[in-house]
Amino acid sequence: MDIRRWALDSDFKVTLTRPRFTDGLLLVLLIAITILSPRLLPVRSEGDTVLVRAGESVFRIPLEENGPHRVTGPLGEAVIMVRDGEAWLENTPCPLKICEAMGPVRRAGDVILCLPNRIYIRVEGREQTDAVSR
Amino acid sequence: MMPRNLSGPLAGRSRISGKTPFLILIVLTVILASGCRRTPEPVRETRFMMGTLVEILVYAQGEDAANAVSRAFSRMAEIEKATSCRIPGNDVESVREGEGALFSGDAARILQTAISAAVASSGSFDPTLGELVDLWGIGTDRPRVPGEVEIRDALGRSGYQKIPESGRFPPGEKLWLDLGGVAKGFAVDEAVKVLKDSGVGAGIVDAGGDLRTFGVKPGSSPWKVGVQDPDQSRELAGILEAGEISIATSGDYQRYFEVEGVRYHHILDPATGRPARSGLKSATVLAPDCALADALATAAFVLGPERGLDLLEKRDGVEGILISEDGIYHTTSGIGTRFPFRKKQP
Repeated sequence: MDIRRWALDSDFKVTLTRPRFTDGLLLVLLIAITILSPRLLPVRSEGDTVLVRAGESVFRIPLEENGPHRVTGPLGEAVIMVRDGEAWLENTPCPLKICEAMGPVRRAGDVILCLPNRIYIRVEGREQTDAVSR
Repeated sequence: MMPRNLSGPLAGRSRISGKTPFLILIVLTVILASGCRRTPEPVRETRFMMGTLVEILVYAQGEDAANAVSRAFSRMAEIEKATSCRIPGNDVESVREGEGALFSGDAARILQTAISAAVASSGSFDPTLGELVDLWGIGTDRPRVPGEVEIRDALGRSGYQKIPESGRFPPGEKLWLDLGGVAKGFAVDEAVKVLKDSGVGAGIVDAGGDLRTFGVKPGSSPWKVGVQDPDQSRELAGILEAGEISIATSGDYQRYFEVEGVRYHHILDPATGRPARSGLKSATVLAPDCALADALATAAFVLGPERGLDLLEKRDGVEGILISEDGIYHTTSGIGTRFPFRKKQP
């Protein structure tokens, strides 16, 4: 864009003078904010949906949909409870109940895994990490 | 921002001094450009296999990406079939039954890595504990605390020194191999190889926490890999940043059962035949490949904080984060320097 032509054609008159110190400061500040903004944002948000994999079937449950959701794995039926933006497993037929002991999930990237009954729950949303070594 | 030296009504002739319009244009352009640049959504697929949940995430689109992911899963299934002690008909079963076998291909390579880790750790990692693992039944529907005699007898039949260097197991000699401590990591490495060969530029293969990143993420930011907090399943002990890494964690929280308030976890100490009580709650290892990371994580967990760190420091390209029962982080020299590590705030 030719700023001089723009200035002539518009109602504004632009007088090009030496930039002031504050102009430079403003530029640096805005560029810094632009570059750093992804890092300043909260990186691990509350999720809004849980992805469920039970055996071979995959589906999603909105975290605002309170109530029990029944799922079936190779060992039998289990219940995914959703309440107030959290989800957890109940009444699982697996022997050790480690998945129930994991408690509720809420934040993006949170996972519940029941290996014996092949049920996997993951909260979807903006995640803090690309993967987790567990 | 308001123009300076404004005189008269806005509709009239105004005066903006300096190069402010240029600056505003440049800054707005940068802001808008950064807002418009969308990071492509990764393709993510999960499958239950190798006794865990395997997830493959790739930054690629279209049918080719889906086919590549599918081929990677097939490769992992092939490795599981050849090496799992739970799948009948492979060489592992033949050796357990005393039928003899000559290990070749994937099984031979896995066995070689396992022996190497066993030697390096003076037997703290041992791929011949299959019978003991079966006795304890941890992770199955029949876990139990075996008797002293049972443990002693099973220990007597184990020992990595009994593995022939040639990979040829003679008939009549039974050995219960459990290659799970390496096979998962090896399968991750092979899946990454398949994805790369298929033209996938960047992604992660994660087999229940044994994982490998490859390529450069869109936006060129480093991969961020969380390390599980061993005390709180919902929390991270910290976050590692790196380019391509292979990482594996062994922890007492992964598979266990409790009797009268005592937790019996799945990482057995080859010296005692019982769950290792080394003072560690978890051992996370970074290595040039995931198979080695997998084996060394187990070995470091069994060895404990001091000897575990010593083992890791001695090996080129290997780093580790060992978290002890008192919550102290024991890290090798490259953690925080070669690999930036943001520790969880207390």
